Amino acid sequence: MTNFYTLTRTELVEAAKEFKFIWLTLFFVILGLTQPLITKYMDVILENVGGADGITIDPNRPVPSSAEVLLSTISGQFNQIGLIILIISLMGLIAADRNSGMQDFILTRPVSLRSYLVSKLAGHWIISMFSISIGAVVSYVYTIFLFGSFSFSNFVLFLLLYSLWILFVVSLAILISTFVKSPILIAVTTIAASIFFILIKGFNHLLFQLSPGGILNLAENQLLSVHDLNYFSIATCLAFISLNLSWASRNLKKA
Amino acid sequence: MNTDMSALLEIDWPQILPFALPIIFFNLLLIGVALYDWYKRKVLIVSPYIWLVIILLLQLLGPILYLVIGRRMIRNDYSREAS
Repeated sequence: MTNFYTLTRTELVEAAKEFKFIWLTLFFVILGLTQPLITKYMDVILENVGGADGITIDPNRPVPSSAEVLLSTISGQFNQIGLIILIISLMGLIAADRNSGMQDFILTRPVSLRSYLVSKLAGHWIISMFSISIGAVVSYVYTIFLFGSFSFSNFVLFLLLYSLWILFVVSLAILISTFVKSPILIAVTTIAASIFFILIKGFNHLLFQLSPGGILNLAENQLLSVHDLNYFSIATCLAFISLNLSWASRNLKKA
Repeated sequence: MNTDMSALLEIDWPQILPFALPIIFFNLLLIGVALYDWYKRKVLIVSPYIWLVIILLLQLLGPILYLVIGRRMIRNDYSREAS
């Protein structure tokens, strides 16, 4: 698949030229640093920063375990403001190509629509996971430094499952950018849809477990070391990703 | 953004610095990347000095907004009108 390889490499080179590797990584590192530090030093911060007279923190409060801190970093920071920034960085992935005419240029070459879309998916997934992995590893190091040890293999397993969720988000952005023309609208719609999927995964029903957000449940349970896990949601997540891609290619063929 | 600068003097710096240092360092690095790119594209982009203010004053979000949106908004961009 040489077409696929060339197109993916182009995506990566373009991202490197736009400093995307640098700033997305820095952003996730800052996000990952902030949460464990604030959780650990909340009382010091409240004492030292003005305007907090009269607020006391119970000195006997339970110290959160490292798994809980990691979970709050991921589901509180990475999955909310991190996801929003990630999607904003993804919003031009098809729209910019279409508006500059590059898409027509590529598709008049002997390049199949499928390898074009899959290369978009793979390229942006690699960029996102590069940044998120570095941010998550920094957060992990700080968490075990401040709160005690946590098994690294569980963390890696978590990161692998989380990468599937990111893959789904990228494929969702591709699908929505075949419907909508303007990049800002693409970002807003994708953010709304993925937050909807994050909300829906909380309901404890089989139907909601099989929604694409179920993979996120599975990933978070890796951190909490719950045992009876529903590994079936890996398959449904992959099915949703391929559904998104085939729908997107059908839309592009029609247009 | 908190404008009350006198609070900064009351902070017990030696106590808070060791763990605030990495956050400040990475923030400055991010602002540095954005400023480097802004300096190179100053003559190209729309309203560069507004973007300078945004980069310098909005903590963490400003440089990212510039790098995602600001650097693509180019003066005399005919490709948008054609489409």
